Amino acid sequence: MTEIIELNDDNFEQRINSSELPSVVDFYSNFCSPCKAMEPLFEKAAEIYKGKANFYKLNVDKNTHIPSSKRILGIPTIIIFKEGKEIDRLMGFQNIDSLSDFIRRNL
Amino acid sequence: MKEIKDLIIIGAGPAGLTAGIYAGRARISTLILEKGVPGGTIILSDRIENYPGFTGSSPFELMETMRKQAESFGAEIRQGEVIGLYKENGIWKVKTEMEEYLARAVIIATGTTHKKLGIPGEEELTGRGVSFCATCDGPFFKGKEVVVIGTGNSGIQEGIFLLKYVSKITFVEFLPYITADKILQEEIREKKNVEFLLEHIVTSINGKERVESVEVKSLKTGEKRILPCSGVFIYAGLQPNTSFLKGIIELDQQGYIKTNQYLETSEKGVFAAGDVRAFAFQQVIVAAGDGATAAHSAIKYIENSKKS
Repeated sequence: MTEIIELNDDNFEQRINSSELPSVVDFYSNFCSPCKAMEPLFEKAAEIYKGKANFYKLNVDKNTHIPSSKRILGIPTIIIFKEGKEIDRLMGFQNIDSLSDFIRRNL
Repeated sequence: MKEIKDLIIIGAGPAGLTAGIYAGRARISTLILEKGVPGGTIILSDRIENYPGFTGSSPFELMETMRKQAESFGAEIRQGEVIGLYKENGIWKVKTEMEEYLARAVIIATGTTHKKLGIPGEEELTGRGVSFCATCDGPFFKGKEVVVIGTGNSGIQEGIFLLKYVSKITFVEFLPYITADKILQEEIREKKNVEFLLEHIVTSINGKERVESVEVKSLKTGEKRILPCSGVFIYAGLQPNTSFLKGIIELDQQGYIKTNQYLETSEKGVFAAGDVRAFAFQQVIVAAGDGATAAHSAIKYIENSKKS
């Protein structure tokens, strides 16, 4: 299974900025059921796009600085970054088709 | 030739999944179609305390167990939003955007969604401070003041969850009293930083980039005032997910599906279960019971239709 790295407020910028591949980040919390339901789909997407993008997640309950700086006001939110810059974002629960489609068109 | 399922269940909430469990155990070939997250509206709540025998940590946990149970008996769950239902040569055609499925019988268990208010600012500021899911969006309002519209079970329960984060909640209720269960009323009244504006309505949600305030109006005096806040959580009732059924199945004035005691609808071979059914007490336990009844009726219908 493709590893999904857990990021936090301290290492987020460094990891995203230094990534040669596009970065797909799942902003989630443990209280959020749609986030939990999306977890296996995000893992599936990471498997599909292995080698084409890096997959990360960030718990918004434990980390407030990055979500606030990215103006995130709802989860689940998926953001794709290239060379440290946000390319696109998806809000709310997505099925595997819409998630996969979103990633494919932004790679 | 396209496969004909014995039963298609539309919706994978408590009603649909329970129907799936019963149909699977009856060895009826069963497909459950779900447009979003399996589990239904209840999984947007942070807790469930009135489902007998379940004292687990979250509705998500309960619904995941139900989903696995339905699948273990052979019910197949696929993602897809149903947009049409037609009968042709005695077989029901269930149409999603991508596919068309065939079935001898159909159970509609599409549930409800939180009603929108239709007030200025609601649509524009959704995702920017306006929310219908406290458990999803609560963490973004740490130390902020928010408004919760509605004091039913959802409003009060989600308000209690929000108090983990926010500095103050103002509940706005158009009725002169709080409508949640007494046990929830007792719990919320023990909390600090909670205010109730009864016999008030929110007339607009204001803000440029994100929510900055709401305008509230007293139904007694007609007086309007601006209430500064960073978030608005809306729990102002539910609406049935039946728009694809208009003109096909008999609905009541609110759009809920009319059924008899066997949960048969106006169309032979189509049954309804759970929150989407007219006069249903919208609770998980009732939806589960409905799912069992509808499956029982559907199984009998399918067996009879195979004989004839």
